[in-house]
Amino acid sequence: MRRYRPAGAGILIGAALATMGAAPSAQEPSSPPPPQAQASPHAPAGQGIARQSGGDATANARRSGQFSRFLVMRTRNLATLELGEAEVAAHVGKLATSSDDYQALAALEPGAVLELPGAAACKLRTEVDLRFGDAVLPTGNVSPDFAGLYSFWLRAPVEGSAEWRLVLNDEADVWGTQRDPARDRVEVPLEHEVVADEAKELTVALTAQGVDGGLLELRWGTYRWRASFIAAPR
Amino acid sequence: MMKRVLRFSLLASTALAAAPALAAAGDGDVTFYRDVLPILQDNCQTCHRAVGANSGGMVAPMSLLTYDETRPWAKSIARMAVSRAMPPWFATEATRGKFHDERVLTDQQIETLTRWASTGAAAGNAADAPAAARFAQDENAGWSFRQPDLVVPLPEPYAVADDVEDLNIDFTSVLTAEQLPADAWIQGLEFRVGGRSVHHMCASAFAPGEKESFQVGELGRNGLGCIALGSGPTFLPEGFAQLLQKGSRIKFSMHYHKEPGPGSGFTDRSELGFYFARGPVSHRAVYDAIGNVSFEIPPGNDRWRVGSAKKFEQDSYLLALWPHAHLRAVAARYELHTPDGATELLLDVPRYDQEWQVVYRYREPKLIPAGSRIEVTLWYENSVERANERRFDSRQATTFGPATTDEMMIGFLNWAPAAELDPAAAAAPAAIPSSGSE
Repeated sequence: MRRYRPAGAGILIGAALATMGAAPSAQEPSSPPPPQAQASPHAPAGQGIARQSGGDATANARRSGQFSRFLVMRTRNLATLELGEAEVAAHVGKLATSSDDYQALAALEPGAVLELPGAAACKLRTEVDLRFGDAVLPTGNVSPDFAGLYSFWLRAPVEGSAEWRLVLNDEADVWGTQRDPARDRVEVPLEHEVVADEAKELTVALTAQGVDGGLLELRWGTYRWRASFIAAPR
Repeated sequence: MMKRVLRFSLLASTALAAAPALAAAGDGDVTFYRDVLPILQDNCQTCHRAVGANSGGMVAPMSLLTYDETRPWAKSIARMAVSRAMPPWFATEATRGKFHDERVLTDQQIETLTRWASTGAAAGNAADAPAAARFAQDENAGWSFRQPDLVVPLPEPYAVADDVEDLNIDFTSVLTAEQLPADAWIQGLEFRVGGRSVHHMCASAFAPGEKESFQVGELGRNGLGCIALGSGPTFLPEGFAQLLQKGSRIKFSMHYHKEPGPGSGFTDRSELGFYFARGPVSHRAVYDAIGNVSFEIPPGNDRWRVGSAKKFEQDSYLLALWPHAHLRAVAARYELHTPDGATELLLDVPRYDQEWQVVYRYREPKLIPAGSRIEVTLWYENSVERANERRFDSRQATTFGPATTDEMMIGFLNWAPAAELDPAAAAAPAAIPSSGSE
């Protein structure tokens, strides 16, 4: 399966790059260097300057996919984990603890799912079926023989419970306010604890556990949530 | 015209009750000069003439000015009108009356065109014809509003080679003192592109010494505007304008897309016309975008939703909306979420067509309160059927990118803070304040 490369940066950067044609000011460490600015064969002299977004005209005659690879994940936090030949990736929006979204977390009603007006929905991409406890998160949920693409959401504990839950939804690219409950796929328990070491913004981490397992960890302020999973190839 | 249409409508209704007696009269009642021409003038001729409206390189394939020009297309016109494929307008009834230049035929107008086509497409009496329509372009060398106050072309002609299929390239022109001796407020922009092979043309302005690195929010700071196929020029309401500083660098971002092959190359010298504000400016407008560039449209998926949003920290006026995407996009929507919890549909385009990228300009600036959030949603179809129709590869996942066969998810918008500018600043703007974009 094709190795996943995040499609791009955040709001406006890509728009600016794409529509205004600018090269990014920095690059993703694991990405190839951006094509060098190159004068066109007809580059005007003096006050006129021409710059192509990649290569010469011939090389640009048919380009696909190259552009996104050198975009910077400037407004998204990304985590990846190799499970054998497969990759699991998660990314979350850049949301500081000073944001309205974080304030909403503290005021979340019991059993309610947290919305994130300030960011795209958190996203999980997996190239292998994953098992969270008894729940299986399959690949191919949005396209046969393709990676599993999910948005994931935090559900507050219901009355009388301390258990946070992770809701995985089939619409991976919606905004953080656009969850459609009808598209929820599975819901799994989360370990939750309050930590002293405060995370100034929402962060996601994926770490290996054993040979074929992993740990998804979300941190935000003093909140920390974790869920373990294992690869469960069919 | 309305009187004529109503009269026809009444006759048509009566015909249902007395068909044999009125059939002949009904046939003769619908004529080009009296019934059809007014509809064409109001809804079609702005594009369908030799030098039609500037729609981002889109050129109407035939003129519909005269009877002789129109008669061969009678049935086609009726068919397009019934299917509502023409005139091109994609917003739903929910926003009827809110935008400039709505191109929507009434049921009665469609009925008139249909009856005319099906009853012999008679010319009628030329004395019944309304006065010939006048178009600003005819009197202003093709420009849509008036002669621009400043025209900035690409720095020099650029040859797009035969082998180019998809090409993104930037050009920069530095405004000379002769071109722009002082800072100016820009009320309108009109791109004139070098033909249909210009997929899009964008412009941004950088003040002298301003660094040209895009950061979050800088599209609103530096962007002037964009057009693509089907997009018309922008003219902001009185009192609203963008700032253009003397000595600025105008950066043009060109995207060419065509069938490669011998003879397909062409030389482009697209240009941008600036219309300066002629009255007082009370609001500094910005050109902004609400976008998502981290999506991945799965192969074969026939309904993929991608969302994005922007929060407005201050009372603001919305001036224009323009959803922008590529071949897989099938629908677009803008929604306003106000701090009181209410939701308002701003724009609903259930049948998005990247070849008709309409800019929806508000008739009256739309005031939104501080704390509002605008959500933009686009839906994509990466199906075999659409791939065959639009010529892309649906077997691959698709992400954000500049090529036509890549995808985009951008909700462009023109907006301005509701707070009025200080009169001194409005008269002599010296610096560009932050746009407040995310």
